[in-house]
Amino acid sequence: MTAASEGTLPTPGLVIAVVAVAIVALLAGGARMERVARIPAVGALVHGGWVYCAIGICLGPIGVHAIDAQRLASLQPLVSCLLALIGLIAGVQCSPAIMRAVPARLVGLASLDALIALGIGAAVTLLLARSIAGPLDLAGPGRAEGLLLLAAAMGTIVAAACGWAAESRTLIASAQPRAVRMAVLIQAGGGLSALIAIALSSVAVVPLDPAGGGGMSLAPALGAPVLVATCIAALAVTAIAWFLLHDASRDDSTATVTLFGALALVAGIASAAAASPLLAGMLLGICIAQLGRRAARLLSITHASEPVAAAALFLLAGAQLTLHEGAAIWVAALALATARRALKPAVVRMALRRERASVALESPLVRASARQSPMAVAVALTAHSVLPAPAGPIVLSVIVLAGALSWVMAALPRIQRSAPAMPAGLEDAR
Amino acid sequence: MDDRGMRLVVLVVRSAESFDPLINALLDAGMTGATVVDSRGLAAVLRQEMPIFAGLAALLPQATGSRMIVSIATRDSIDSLMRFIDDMPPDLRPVGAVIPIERTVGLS
Repeated sequence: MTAASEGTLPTPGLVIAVVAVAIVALLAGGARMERVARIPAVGALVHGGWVYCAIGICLGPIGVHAIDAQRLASLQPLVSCLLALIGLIAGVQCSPAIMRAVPARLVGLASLDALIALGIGAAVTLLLARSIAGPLDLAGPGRAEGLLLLAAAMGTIVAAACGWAAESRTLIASAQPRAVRMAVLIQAGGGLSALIAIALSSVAVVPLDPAGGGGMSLAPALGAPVLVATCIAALAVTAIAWFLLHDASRDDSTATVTLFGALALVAGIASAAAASPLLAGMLLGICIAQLGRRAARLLSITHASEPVAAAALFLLAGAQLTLHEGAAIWVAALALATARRALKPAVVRMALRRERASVALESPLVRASARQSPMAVAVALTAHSVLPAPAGPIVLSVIVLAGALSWVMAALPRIQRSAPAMPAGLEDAR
Repeated sequence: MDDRGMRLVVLVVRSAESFDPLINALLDAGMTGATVVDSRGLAAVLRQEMPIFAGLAALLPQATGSRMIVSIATRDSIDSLMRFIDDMPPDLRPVGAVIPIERTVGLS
């Protein structure tokens, strides 16, 4: 039972947890951290989120136990708002100008990538089937519940496998136009796939109703109407926010307060309906993006909150890692990361092969597609609050571990034959 | 050439919305010569180089709408321009500075 539900004062542990999240998030948004993150190796750790994840692990049950499951349950409203903010950041990209600039080749790449993610997600879910189903007997009376749970877990893992990290600076090896063009496509592909991941993960958990006293009940008939009702409610709030924000005479501070008020409201609606706050935030963002010039200012405000949101997300995800569920988690994470490293760069090369003359297909940038998107952790954290134990913690742990492994694997170049030595005269002339 | 009566004004206009009125104000103040450069703030550079959740904005590198106006003018002209800027809504006002000039070259 949480402190809030008991109607008592927050425990010291909860205060420590909130203060820890706040301090880390604020430090992440500071100018000093921006400066440090410009060092490529550090940038990969910071923008990958792994530094904050490590802090979360240290604060969580694996570390000093300052944050545990009970305190995290008290933080659920904060988590919902955080996820809605991340959805908003993804959705607000969808301005008409940006969507018109998306090349058809990139849409093809994102679609092909989603198909590959489906295969990877299905394979990894099979590896984890026994662990995810837990006490449910897949061959007996619990078959229907078990299969539905596996489908929800698979949808989440597929969504997490979609796309890649948009950050590419840490892998840029040259400033040649072809490399710059490739960096733009990698960034834009990551952003486009993040939208697909949010949509997929929101639909995946539709048939589950977690409001059953900590257990799970199936509500395939109820789930879809609840999702539709949540979307309608979120859009109603969005319409009010639109009306308030559309007045260009309002200054930026008023617009910002209005936007974040609407964000908190849609996050609350989504949480109350057991739907995805990511989806509600994304819907709000997509509508806000249609506001023209006002949207450009709001875009810069929401993007400024990216590092803060990412730090809090990874800290909370790290604090909920469970590494004691057996070797299956490690095997699945390794399989997921290896599949990413083997398939994603190949998919990028295949989808962009007709643009060979304008993009650097052999540059290290292509390896950026092997790195798991930070959005995958947001998707996993959403599933963690909907999927019953042990499925939720297992899916979260696999996705976080696979993400860390994928960043390590992407940093490793392909083994190449050594080039012949250059004649001495030419070496000097280079 | 001694130009101690002249001033250098540097203005960063953050939105397209305030750009047109500001250009009109420059002309009204008698400043017919100015250089306008498309610009990006540090935050925009950082955001574009290292996006976390939102990478689509990379497709529109020019979408910041920020521009820098540089001009050399007399004190009276600049005072007139500053009065206009003071009357602008706070969120549309440009960021900038006015600097005294010791010497100029290339001005007729």
